[in-house]
Amino acid sequence: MIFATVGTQLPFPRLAEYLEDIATKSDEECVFQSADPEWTSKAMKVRAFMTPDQFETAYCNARVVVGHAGIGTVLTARRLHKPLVIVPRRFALREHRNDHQMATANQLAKATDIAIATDLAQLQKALANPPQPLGDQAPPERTRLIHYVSRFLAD
Amino acid sequence: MLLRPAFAAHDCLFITTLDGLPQRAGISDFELVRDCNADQKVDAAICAAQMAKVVLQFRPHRIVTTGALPGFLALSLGKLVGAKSLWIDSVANVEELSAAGRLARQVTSHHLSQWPHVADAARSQFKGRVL
Repeated sequence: MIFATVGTQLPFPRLAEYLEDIATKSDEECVFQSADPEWTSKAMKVRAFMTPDQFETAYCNARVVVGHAGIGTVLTARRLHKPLVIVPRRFALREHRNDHQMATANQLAKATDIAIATDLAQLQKALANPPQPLGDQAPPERTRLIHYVSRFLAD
Repeated sequence: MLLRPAFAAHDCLFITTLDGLPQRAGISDFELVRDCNADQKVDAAICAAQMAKVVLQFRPHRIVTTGALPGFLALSLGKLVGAKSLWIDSVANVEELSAAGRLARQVTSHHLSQWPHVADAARSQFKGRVL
């Protein structure tokens, strides 16, 4: 199953259209949390919003998670050891109030358990060949920060 | 808690506003202080008094905090007893520094954001992130 989530603040119609395209051409179940009560789909199971329990269940059942570049999405995917594909919201397309999601996504994609997709083709490719969860291994940027703090304490 | 390995070799006191958090992490050396923000003057005064007591008793050489206002108070009080301090702005601040993070910028030279684009815009530094 593919679980896609756009957070609770803003709908994300471009991602919804990508997912609709993918779900229409695939047999795999797709659950989409849309943040948009107006959005309907023939190919996907759509929920505008979910309770924390529904959210947790959807994450757990997912083969791969698709999300926007939100910290909550990343934290949950890591906690539940799920591969994550991030589609960042673009300021130029009026999907957010500035372009911080591009900067955030580019940083996060340095970790091997997170892929970034900026168009439909990249999303299709990432879903066909998802990144590998880290398991108990620390992400590289955390190791770097721990070293910095260690040096600060010893100095 | 994700940075805990960095503290393993040191005599270390954890200060938090959340009762239950250190216990769950198996930490026995901790102190609780009142949570506060800039709009809660009474809570901030109580937090400052609690923090002053802890800082004067423990006499830290180094203070590391991720904020917010209680962390800023710790860092400012620590300066009075000669502690060097490190501010690590929360990873949740993806667009700009927190308000407390901007204040901390005035008080310590060791100042990090967990996002390079935030660090660059705020005369802070990027040295990694918990995620």
